[in-house]
Amino acid sequence: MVTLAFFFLATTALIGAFAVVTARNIFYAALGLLVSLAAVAGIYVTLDADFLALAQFLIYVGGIAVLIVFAVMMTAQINRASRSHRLWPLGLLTGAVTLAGLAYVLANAQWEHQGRADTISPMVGDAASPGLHLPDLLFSVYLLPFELAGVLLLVATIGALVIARER
Amino acid sequence: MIADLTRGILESFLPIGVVDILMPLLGIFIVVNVLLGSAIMLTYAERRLVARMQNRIGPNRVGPFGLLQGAADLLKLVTKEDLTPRAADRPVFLLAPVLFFAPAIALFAVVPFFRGWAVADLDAGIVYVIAVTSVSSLAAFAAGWASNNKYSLYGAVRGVAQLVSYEVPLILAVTSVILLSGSLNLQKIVEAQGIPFILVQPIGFLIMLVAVTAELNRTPFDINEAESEIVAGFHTEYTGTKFALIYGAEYVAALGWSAVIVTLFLGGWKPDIGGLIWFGLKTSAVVFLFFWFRGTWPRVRIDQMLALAWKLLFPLATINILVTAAEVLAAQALFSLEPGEALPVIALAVIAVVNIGLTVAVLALLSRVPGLARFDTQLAASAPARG
Repeated sequence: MVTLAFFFLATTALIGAFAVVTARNIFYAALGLLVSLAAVAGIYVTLDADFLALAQFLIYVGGIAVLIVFAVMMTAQINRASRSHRLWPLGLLTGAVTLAGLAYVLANAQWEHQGRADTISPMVGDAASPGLHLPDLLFSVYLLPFELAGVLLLVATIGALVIARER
Repeated sequence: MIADLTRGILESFLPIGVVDILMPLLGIFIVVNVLLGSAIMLTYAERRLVARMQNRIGPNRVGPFGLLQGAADLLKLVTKEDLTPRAADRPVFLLAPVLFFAPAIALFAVVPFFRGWAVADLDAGIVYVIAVTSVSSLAAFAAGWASNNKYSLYGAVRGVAQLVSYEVPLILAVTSVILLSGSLNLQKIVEAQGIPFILVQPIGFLIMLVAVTAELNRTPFDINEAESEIVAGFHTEYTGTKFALIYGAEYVAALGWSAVIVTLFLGGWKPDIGGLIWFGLKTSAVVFLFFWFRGTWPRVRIDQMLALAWKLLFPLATINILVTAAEVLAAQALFSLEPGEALPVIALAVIAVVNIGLTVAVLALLSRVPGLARFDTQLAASAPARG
């Protein structure tokens, strides 16, 4: 049952990803991305990581997809974008580096199942898994990444204000 | 109990493996059909109630008291010609009504109808509610963009701006409830309500009510389908079954969000006696509130609506979270509770008294802010003259 669900979701994710790359229409590409990311959220559910799946859905489908929709909305003549592909060497380089990184991770990952995947409980003081709580971790072990993400968002907000301000 | 009985009957002539798959499907079938029936009846109820408020009669010809009006309307819509404009983007145009309907129905997967009664009792139920409903802004944009009609696009742009803005105060209002109950599970949130959270968290309830009204595109925030300005907004080009889906999805979503408000603030299925009656009555009361808004208030302008979200609701909700967090920490220190343990009724009562006092003070203060007073007179000026 879980295997069946996995193959269904994996196929959907791949079809979505393929649509992102090949679609000429930017809105179709956004929809393809959405399908792909939602299918990945489904895979998290098959791995018993419910909270991760919901976070994936909330941030990527509800957030990133809306962001792309905003970009489509705010950009004039988006369908007449440059088709000359002058930056293809850079694209190739980025793709190759990403592929190499992913291949390295895949080759070196520990694939043995180590109990429930969702050991970090999202709940504040859930009786099922005392000790490890998301907020405690965020404000102790991962404080620096958390603060960095905050600074990044602040910079993005200021940047958006500067770009959007009427001159 | 009913579930066990059904299970026993099915197992008498089917293998257990098949029954295991069939039982959840049966639950989904019942919930979805009850919802669709309720949505049809709600269209009738809204028309009759608003007619009553506006001193009209409303639909009273089809069946006794016009009760079959909704069914008749649905039949008419379904038998209409299925039109797609030639300039429309066909796949997205067909997909948009489904994108509207799916999250509205999916919302009910986690709603706790009674103790232990939910289609799926998720640990992070309230995160699921927010995650699923965040798709609706995409649906609004897909509908408006695919129609290839300038009024549709105006409606879609307004809709996306509105949904994105009001999601912020909505999530912050929900956070204050999570702080009080110490859980993301909707069943546990209901059980933590020794006192209904509307009394403990009055500001949170008010913010949630306003944000949900905006999230549902209901008057006074229905500017993305404002017929006096942009024809019918994002659903201008939709007819027949597709229009029925969009229209029905709005009522199912209204029902769903009302159920969530009842769960978070009105004590859910409590008190224990009477089964589903209390949950049904409370949900109907919140739905009635939305109908009442529609019968009473004029539509706001887009700048007024966005200003309300970002300049009033957002700061208010942030301060509310800080105050609530301080109160919860104080209560935990006083009663020496573990983080996440439900607060005792006495602590909730004290917090309720403090918060109700604060709410009255804040509302009195806000009514004296000059900017907001101007906002009020602008609203009054745009209202139609009373006869």
